Amino acid sequence: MSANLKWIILITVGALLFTFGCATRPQKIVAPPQPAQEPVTPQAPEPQPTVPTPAPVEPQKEAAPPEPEAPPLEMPAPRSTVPSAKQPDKTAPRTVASLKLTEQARILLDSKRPDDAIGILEKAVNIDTNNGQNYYYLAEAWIMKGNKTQAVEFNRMAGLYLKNDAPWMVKVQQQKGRIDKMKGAR
Amino acid sequence: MTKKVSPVRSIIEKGTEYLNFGFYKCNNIEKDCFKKLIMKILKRNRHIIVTLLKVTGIIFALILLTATAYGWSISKDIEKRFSGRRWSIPSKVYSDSAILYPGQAINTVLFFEMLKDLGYREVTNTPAQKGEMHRKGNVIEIFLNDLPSQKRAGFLVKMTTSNGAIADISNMQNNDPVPLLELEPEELSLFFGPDREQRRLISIGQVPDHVKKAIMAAEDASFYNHHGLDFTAIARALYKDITSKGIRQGGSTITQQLAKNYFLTPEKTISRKLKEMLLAVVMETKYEKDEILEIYLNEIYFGQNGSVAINGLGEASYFYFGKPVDQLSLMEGAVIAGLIRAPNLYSPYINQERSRGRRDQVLKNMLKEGWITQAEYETAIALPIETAGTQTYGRKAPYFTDYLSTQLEELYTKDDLSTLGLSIYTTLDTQVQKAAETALSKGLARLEKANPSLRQKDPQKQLQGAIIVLQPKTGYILAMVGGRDYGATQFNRITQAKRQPGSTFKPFVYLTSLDTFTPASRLSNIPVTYKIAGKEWTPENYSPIPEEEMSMRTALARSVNIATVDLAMKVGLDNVVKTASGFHFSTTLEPYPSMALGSFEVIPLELARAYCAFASDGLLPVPLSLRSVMDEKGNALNSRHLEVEQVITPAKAYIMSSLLNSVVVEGTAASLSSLGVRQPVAGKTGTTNDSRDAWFVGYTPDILAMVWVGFDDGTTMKGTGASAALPIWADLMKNIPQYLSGGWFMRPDGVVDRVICTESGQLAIPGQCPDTLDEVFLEGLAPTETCPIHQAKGTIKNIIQEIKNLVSKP
Repeated sequence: MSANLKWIILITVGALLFTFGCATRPQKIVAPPQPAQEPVTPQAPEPQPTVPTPAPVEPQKEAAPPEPEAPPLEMPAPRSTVPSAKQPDKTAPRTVASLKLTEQARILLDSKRPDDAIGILEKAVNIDTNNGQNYYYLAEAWIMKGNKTQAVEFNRMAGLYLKNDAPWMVKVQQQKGRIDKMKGAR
Repeated sequence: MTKKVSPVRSIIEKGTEYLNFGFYKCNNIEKDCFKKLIMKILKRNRHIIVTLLKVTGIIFALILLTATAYGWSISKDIEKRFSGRRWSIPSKVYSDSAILYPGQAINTVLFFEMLKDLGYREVTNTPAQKGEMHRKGNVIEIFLNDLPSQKRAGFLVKMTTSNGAIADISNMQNNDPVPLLELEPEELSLFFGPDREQRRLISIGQVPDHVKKAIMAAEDASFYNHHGLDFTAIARALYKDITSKGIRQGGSTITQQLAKNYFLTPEKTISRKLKEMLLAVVMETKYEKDEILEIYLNEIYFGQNGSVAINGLGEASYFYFGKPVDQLSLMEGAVIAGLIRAPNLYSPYINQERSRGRRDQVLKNMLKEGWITQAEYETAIALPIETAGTQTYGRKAPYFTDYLSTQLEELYTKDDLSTLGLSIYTTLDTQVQKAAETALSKGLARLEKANPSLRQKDPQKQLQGAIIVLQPKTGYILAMVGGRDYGATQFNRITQAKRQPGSTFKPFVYLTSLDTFTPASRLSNIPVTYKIAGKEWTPENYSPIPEEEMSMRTALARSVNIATVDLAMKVGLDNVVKTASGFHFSTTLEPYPSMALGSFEVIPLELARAYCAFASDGLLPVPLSLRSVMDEKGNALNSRHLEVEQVITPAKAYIMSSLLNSVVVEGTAASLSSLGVRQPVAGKTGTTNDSRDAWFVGYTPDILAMVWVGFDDGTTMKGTGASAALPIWADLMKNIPQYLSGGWFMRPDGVVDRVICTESGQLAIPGQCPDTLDEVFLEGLAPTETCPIHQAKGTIKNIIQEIKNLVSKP
């Protein structure tokens, strides 16, 4: 919409507002003064019935029809820029398969065989790229090999993929601490 | 003066005289006459005889000494030859091993092709030997081969498929489930030396007794009884040689044959024969019988496979019967044994009848020696000869192996590669490779069929294409197809070509802008003329786009040139160059506006690698083809591992993947879903000026593939990235379902989402903004103000509604 047209509309609306605003401003109503009345002596209360008398049933008034509301504006739901995709699932076949390899790699790391472990972990990553444990153990392997640069990168990836797993995040943070103490280029 | 008589003549004359005298003297048949006469002669000529004896002794001693010295030197030679490397074994290149697991999606056609390429033979019943498989409906029974380096012994396994996936894998021996199964890697190529000998070494322990006996029956039945020479056989051969006036019949023992093959030239002369005999005798003194036989069985020539010589029993058993030597039957052993005398004459591939005749002769000899029973003999001769079928030693994935070779040459010489028998393991996935080759071939044929003007008769000038497939997080090269036909041209268009990337370069412009711009930022689509080095340049869109401005997301999705250049100018061309340089492009990029549209050449492998950073949370991997090198004993010599480098933040990588997903959902690659790929994909099409190049780079968290189509000489291919490259990409992906998980990228920290108005790019007003989008932003750059366009509109609407309400009240 061009700027000029916007101004025209604003001025027109402003004028309309002014006109209708003056005509429809609600007037304050002042009630007339009431004559003075004699004080009323309160009567003794009636004796309470022993049998409770049910309250009289008031005839039901028909509910007034609701005022017609302005029809709501139909707006579509916002489109998403995140594609609908399968969510990571720990029981998914590829996750299970990847974890099997992760376990093999862990055993190799325990046996101080980081090169063999890295080979297995590479395969595990190829199967399931969302498995954060693989990145954690890759970082461990690179720590064992003394390569701080690679250890940093894989520790970071582990942090990304394990961020919703509190126990693992503790390990990732501890690993980060060990990497920070390592000598070498970052 | 008396004439001088030579001593020799004198001795002869004397001798003759004595003989004549002796015969004369003993003519009267006196008992022991001749004997007494000899004694008398000897007594009288004692000194001459002693001299003669001394001379003979000296001559004999000299001969013996010479023979001993010669024998000793030969012995040294033999020792040197046998203690060092005995054979030149070509190194072999292998693919990566395939991993199978229950639930894995599978392309059954490619899977079975892979099993066949691995040498698995289909049998009609449950497999009984390693290397056999049996199919029945959706059930496959496989007797697995051993994994290399004794990693895992082969066993019988049953695999069930269902709905395009592996349903179940179980060990048939104990019914235990197998959660993960690794298949052995596939042989891709060999590094032959000038001799082009192919050999598979075996130990004597691997050779079944009936095969040993078959070979002995064919060549040397008394091998275990002689000491290198079989005089009976020699005499028989000599007689035949004399009667046939030439050396025709061989009487050589196995040891002699080994001596001849290993040390001597093959000519048939007396001196060579004598040397061979001496060598044989010396070898027998130095080595045990089994040792000699083992060397012989690994040495002997067994025929040809094209230009490649089949040497050794290990290779022969695979070549003729497709199985290892320890699985050869009696009949098969007899066939192979019969080949030795004349492999190309008795080869079952050349003449089945002649081969059968020779086999039967060997079996007969075995029966004669008592090594088989009559029943075994009759059974064996009744069997037909069923060979494995020849497979030429061709190269699989030749562009990939060429690329690999350049890396290997940094570690080993050509001589090492052709002699040391190394095992070289790579990252290649043969199923992906086949899918890529097929997709490219079909895709190019399809383009030529649709547009016959693209066809070229000269194979060197044909429409070309190239594909590279990578695992983006590890950098593993899963497939590489460097051209349409390796036989026509070995030029690798993935690693050696330099081509303009066109719009596939645009993401680097948008990436550069992410520090200040957002996917919702408005970009101008109004044509602008730029002055560069005194010349004017006005970028144009590929097709007319009426909008004067649009969001960054839309501009990239629809590959709007004007908007992209506008963005590049706003962020600074030097910054774009700096960003791109961070991805290690080796080609030069200059800060010209046209750079934003991909006018500067890149190497396709480097472009694919750069996109990996978007797919792997900002980490740029080193493309990996070589995994490890092992010697013939299985010892690891070299290994390469994945290496990554953080080039952009995970948040920026996530935003880029989101933007590139729009290309596929609603942009230039929107036809992908109609091509059959409906999983979430991020990608970018690219088409250069005059359609010289057509590109598509597409990726998921699990895989990245890049397709290029064009002519080598830059002639127009009359297509676009979407029409030419994208369908090839789709074909490839549909055939490798194991790599499509259907997942998307993990949202990292630093990314937020906001519902925005698509018109203003600001926060949407619920109920007011007609078109809204749940957009992603880098934290800190997300909009904070509400949509000004629909806020004003909303106010006016509310006022009008209010007026209507007031007017309508009684």
